[in-house]
Amino acid sequence: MLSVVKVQGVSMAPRLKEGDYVVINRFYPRIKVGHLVVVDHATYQHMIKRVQKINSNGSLWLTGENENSVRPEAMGWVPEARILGKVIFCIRAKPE
Amino acid sequence: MIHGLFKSIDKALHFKTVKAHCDIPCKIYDPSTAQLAALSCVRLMDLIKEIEDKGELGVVDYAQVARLVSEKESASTEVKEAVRIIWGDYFKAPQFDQLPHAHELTHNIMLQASKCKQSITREEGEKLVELVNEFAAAFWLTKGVEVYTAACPYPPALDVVYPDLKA
Repeated sequence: MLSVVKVQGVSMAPRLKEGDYVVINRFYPRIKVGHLVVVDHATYQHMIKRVQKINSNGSLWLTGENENSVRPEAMGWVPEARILGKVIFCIRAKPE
Repeated sequence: MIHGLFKSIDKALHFKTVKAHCDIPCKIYDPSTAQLAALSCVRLMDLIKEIEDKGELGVVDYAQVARLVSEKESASTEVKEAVRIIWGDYFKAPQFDQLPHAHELTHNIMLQASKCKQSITREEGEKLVELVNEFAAAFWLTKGVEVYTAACPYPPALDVVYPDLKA
C-alpha cells in the first residue's frame, strides 16, 4: 500500500528538503543499506532517515544526511516493527 | 508542477509529516527526567505491593494493578530514553574522557530499567534510582556543577542527587 508523507526539517538535506513529499511503500519487499525509510521511533516519533546498517534480527541503524541530524547513537537500533514504509519516490519542492 | 499538485492535494487531505529530525541542538539536557521516572518506578511498585497486601482482591483491584503495571512499563521506558538521549546527544569525546565508565553505567541503567519492567520487587527499583543518581552526578560533573543528595519530598522519599546551582 502506498502513502504520501511530507518532509519537515533539514537533516536529510541536500537529498530531501523541507516541503518535499515522498511516496512510501508500506509493503516493501526488502530493506537494504542506503534505502530511505520512514519509521515510528519510540522517542522521535515519525522520522525519515537513511539505512546505514541492518542487524541480523532485522532492526535498522539509521542516519541523517548531514551534521544537523540526530545522531545514530541517540536513535539506537530501530526494530523492524517500527518501519512504516520504504521511500520509493520523491517529489521535490521548487527551489526558492 | 507535480509538486504543486501534491501541495494542492496536501491542503485537502493533510498528508502526515515526517521529521527529517533535527537536533537543534538546543543544549537543554537534564537528568532529572530520568530521576523522576526512576522514582516513579519505585512508587508504582509500592502501590502494587499495597494491593497485594490487601489479601482478597476484587475486580477493581485487578483493574488498578493493570493500570499500575502499565504506568511502570512507561516509567521504565522513560528512564531508558532520557538516559539514552543524554548519552547519545550530549556526551561526546570530552565527556567520555572525563567519564570513562559512562558506557558501562548507561548500559547498566538499560539493563536495570528492563528488570524494573519485568519485576515488582522494590529492590530492583531502588537499584535503578541508585544507578540513575550515579548518572546524574556524572552528568553534573561534566557541567562543573556541584551536587548534593537529599530525600525527595514526596513518595517514595528516596535519596536523589540534585545540582547545587547556588554554589
